[in-house]
Amino acid sequence: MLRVSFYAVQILIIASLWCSGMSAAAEPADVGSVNSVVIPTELKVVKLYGAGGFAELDAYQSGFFVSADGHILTVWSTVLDVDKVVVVSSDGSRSEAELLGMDPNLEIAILATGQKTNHFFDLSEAIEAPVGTRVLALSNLFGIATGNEMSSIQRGVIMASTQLNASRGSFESVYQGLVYVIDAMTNNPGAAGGALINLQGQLVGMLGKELQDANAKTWLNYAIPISVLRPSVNDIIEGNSIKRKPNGRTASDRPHSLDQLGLVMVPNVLSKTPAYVDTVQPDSVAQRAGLHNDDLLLFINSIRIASLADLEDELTYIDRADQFALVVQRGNEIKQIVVAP
Amino acid sequence: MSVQTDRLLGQELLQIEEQAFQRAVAAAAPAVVRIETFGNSQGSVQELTTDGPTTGTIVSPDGWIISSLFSFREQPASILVTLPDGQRTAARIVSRDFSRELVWLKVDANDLPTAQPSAENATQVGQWAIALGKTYGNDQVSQSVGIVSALGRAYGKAIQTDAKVSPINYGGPLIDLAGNVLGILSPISPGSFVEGDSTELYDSGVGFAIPLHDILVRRKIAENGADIHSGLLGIVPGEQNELAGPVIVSGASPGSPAAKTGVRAGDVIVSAFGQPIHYLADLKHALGPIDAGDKFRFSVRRADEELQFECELSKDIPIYRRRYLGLRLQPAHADGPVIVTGVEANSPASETKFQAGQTIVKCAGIDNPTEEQLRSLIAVAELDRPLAFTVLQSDGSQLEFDVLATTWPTALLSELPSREPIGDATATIKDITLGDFPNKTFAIVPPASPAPVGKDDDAAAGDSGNSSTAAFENRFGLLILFPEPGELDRQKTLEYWSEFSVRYSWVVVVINSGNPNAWTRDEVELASRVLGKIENSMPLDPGRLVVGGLGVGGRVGLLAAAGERKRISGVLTIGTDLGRFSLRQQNAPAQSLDFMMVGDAAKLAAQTKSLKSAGYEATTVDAPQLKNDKWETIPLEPISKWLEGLARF
Repeated sequence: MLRVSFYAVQILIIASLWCSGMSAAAEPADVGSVNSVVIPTELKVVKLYGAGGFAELDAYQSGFFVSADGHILTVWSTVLDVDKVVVVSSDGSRSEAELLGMDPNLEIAILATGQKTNHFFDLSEAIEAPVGTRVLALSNLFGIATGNEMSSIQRGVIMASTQLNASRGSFESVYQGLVYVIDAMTNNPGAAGGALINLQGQLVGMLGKELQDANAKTWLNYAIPISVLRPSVNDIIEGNSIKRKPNGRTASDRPHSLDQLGLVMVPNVLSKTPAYVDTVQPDSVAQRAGLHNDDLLLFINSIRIASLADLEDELTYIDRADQFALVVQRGNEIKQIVVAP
Repeated sequence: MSVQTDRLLGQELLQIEEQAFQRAVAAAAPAVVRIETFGNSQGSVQELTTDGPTTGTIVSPDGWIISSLFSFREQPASILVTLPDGQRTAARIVSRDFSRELVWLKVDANDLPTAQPSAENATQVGQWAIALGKTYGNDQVSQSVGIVSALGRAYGKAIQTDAKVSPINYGGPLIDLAGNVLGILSPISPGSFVEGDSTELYDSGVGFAIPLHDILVRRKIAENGADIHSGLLGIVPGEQNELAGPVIVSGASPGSPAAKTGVRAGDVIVSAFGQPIHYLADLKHALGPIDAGDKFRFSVRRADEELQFECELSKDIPIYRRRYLGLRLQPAHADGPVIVTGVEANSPASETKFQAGQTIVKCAGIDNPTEEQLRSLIAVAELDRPLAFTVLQSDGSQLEFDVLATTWPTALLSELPSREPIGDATATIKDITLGDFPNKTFAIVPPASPAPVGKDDDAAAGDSGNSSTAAFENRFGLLILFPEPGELDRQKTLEYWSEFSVRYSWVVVVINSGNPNAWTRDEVELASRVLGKIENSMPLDPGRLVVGGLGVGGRVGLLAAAGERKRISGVLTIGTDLGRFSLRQQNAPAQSLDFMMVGDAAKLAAQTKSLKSAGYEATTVDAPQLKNDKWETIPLEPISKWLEGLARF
């Protein structure tokens, strides 16, 4: 397959407000509503430089200050795989930061510069943003900004809020929880760790890593809500280490099986053969539950059954002693069926 | 006014706008439904079908729902719609609109909330537009805010917007600030040749919606369960450039509605439905919104007359296969009279009085046809109606006779036309620079003036007898190859092609990838650059322009040929797995492509079948031992025969 990358990026550059060569002390003119929230925010967002730069791995990403003591929140990535990460602020000041700690479940890291700053986001003031909220994403996408240049700003709206695992199911990511989906191309190389704010300047999320939908071949543009990150950030700053949590479910020791339920399914001739019942065995669990020959099984405990293979897989997680719910299609009718052992 | 007041006003404006968006979304949201499909990707050849949820828009209280074709190209085993009350209900496909990439679904329900159409023809470029979808869950609609970017896109069928449109919201509504529906989001794309290539428009700030009014006027048709297709006319324009000037007809595709009207070569299309037609683009815009089965009215200018025609557009035109007479033709000089330089053995032409050396003075009523005109006339020749020719012989006499065309023979030439021995002449390597592209590119170029074509003794001509006495300007064939990413061995490439290049006057260009590991989409256009560059430096034979590639480069070659199909005559892939590429457009007169695929025949079978079903001729050469970077493993003979065979008429 051709590796095709298309990034039509809409970037609002406010360079005209930010005179080149401006000293760190000068405050830019405050001339309008969006600008008035963007300028102070820009000083909180930093450009991070570390390891990489080969084999399509970028050596840079974004981050932002989250404490007066110079702690920086960013994504955990190979960029941080160095002794000292170089931090460049929007006023051009450079410092070096060490990795203070990380959360392997959220794939986030806290860096410590050891230097006081006035320009930080207070995470306790971050808010939750409803779908439809207009937002600005600040990040150093594609590494466009260097030195005392501000990070790039993109505008969009929160298109949806969704669980990474639940709705599309085809993104490979350790983090599987709640995300804000953004309708602008915010998640590009270098953008991870950037800040998502609303038009009032309030922090709402942190831009995540690049993720592609394996089915639709589209890129997901998203940020992780600060409310999700806050407890971990506080833990890391307080010096607590965070362990990797086991991901996902464990199979049952004594699971259900089609055989034991009394179901003979239409055989799996194609990779995605739908879960059609061929025969329900007389006096079986399935028959008592009310299943019929030719029923098409659609959902099991609200989990979509795309194919016979999905059904067999899902059954292995349900203990033989437990009941479960099915949604089945019989002709043109949709039926809810509870299967009790 | 103080800075402080400005800021407050600004924030107030932002909040008022945001509230307006929210109100609009809230008004339209109840009619937006989530649709789940089951078992629709079994054995799918569509690269882009997903079995994820999709979106629909309710357009009537009794359960008519519009969605996009995206998830319904194949019949799913089950379609479930979640109604506004949270109940899942089964839906069925009643009608598919292939012209607008939409589907009409029906659920059994009453009193459903429905989408309110915005006023007809009131949509303005620049107005706010919000794209809604419902794939992220049942409790919320997804929303992307943008503006209307343009109207009448995709040949008059679609509204263009910069709101984000993708599989996330295909089938959902594009609404205005009052919550009324401007159109339904559709994967329609403004003309892409290779299926699966339309993803280039995802996330690019270009999305499309079909005006709701244009959908609802077709409800009667949809209710009757009929599918809706684009209406096809079947005019073959003399010039493919959409903006090149008057639309001069070079023929009507055999069996098409246009062919039945009596329109003929030389007619100029001047209006459609009373609106003036200046360019081919005007004609395509006039045709775009018309469905198969609907009437199309147009007028042409013929000599001093204006003639009116009306016909019923059809769903498909009989699949076009390239036509064949068995002639080799060449103009005496550019745009000059066309001379027969050879007659193929066992061809339709060989059964007539055609002989090498004759000059064609008339064909199908056109006096002194140019090479281009002959190409068009032969391209649209009916298989059951002979073409009338008048030729001038070397003794000054004229002969009139008819030839009945056949379809293009798939068999390779039994042998290559014989040529003078080439002696010591060898081809040389020349580097080509491509401006801002870093791609290392070189050409195998034969010596400047090999033996003039006119002196050839064409053995394949069999009974053609006398060879011509005229000497022609030597014209070159051009083969542009995209190899595997990396760099192809120059010397080995030269050794492989040198003799063929010199003997048959071919230039072979190799474009290496810019990145040693992968090809990128924008490198496809390099073929056009090379073509333009070579065209300016030497005379090319329009019948022998080929693009192709080795291994994965063959895909780049196919895309390049697709982009230049009006000029390119063939596609050559060597050891390429074309995978799930399928062609969106059928073969068409005057822009037909021939394929040669070298590789493991078993693996190429499906691809050959799919090409043939779209009217393209595909010749396969079984070479299971082939290595993409080793010329010595690639059989030259069949490739040579195919390349030289392309020049026939």
